[in-house]
Amino acid sequence: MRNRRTVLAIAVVTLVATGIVTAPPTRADNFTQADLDLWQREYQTVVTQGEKLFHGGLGNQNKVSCDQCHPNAANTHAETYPKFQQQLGKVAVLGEMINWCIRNPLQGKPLALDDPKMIALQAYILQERRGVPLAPGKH
Amino acid sequence: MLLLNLDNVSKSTPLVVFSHSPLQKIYKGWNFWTDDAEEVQALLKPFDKVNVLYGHVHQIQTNQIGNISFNAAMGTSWPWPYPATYKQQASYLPKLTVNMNRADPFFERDATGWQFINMHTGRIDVNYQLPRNQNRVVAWDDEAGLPDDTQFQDAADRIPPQTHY
Repeated sequence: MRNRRTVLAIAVVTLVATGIVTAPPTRADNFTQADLDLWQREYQTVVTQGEKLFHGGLGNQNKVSCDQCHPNAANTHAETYPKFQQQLGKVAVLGEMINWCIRNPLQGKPLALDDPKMIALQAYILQERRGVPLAPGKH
Repeated sequence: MLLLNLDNVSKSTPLVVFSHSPLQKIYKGWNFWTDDAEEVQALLKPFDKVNVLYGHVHQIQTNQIGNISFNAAMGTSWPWPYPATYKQQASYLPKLTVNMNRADPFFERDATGWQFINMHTGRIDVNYQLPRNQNRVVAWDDEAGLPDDTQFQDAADRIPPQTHY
């Protein structure tokens, strides 16, 4: 018995001494200011790419650009998606409506919904719509 | 040039000024703007009845600054949103304007149109012809002393902001 107790005590002392017991639990979302700055820079880079695509950077032959109808992404109503889009006959996400615009007025090729260009376009649009209350489904 | 042209015109003569630019300051970010608007308005100020018809904005807009009435023309190409739909900047479109319906992108003529202009009284009445949408009349209101939407000016009479979606 004595030996067991001694071993246990030594084990506890060892754990405390090595910091395993007293250290706060490690959090999965630990981050530093440097991380936040990096992530913000990454985000802004994508927003800037989206801004260029939105202003004639999609390479479509007819040269129509998103900003001709949506200056500063106005009237995009990004905050109302997903919503039932009567003309598409289903509940659509913003990317599907962007593709409608790319196919029709822009006469271009639609993008995959996870295409970096599609993500950049949405980043720019939502950045310009920041602060507008979310209203999914609204018409 | 404008000053010289007006020198020999009686102050009671109704003036109609056609201008692409709005001749007023609405929203600089989209160039709904005329840098020397005050200067132009000062030239027009001595006349009793002044009407400015302008383009550029592709939407129904109405304003009254002193003796000067402003009416905008529709686009024949594509719709343009109202500046207030951009939430990050302030704009100065006066509240007496009743905004048009939001454009249906699936109908290429929506939010474009023509207008017939009656200037018989020396004031401007604008009849907006809006495809597949209810036509609108913005006419001089003698009592109020400004042009306004004859049907939808009262908030209770306004049609919803969109009819196509």
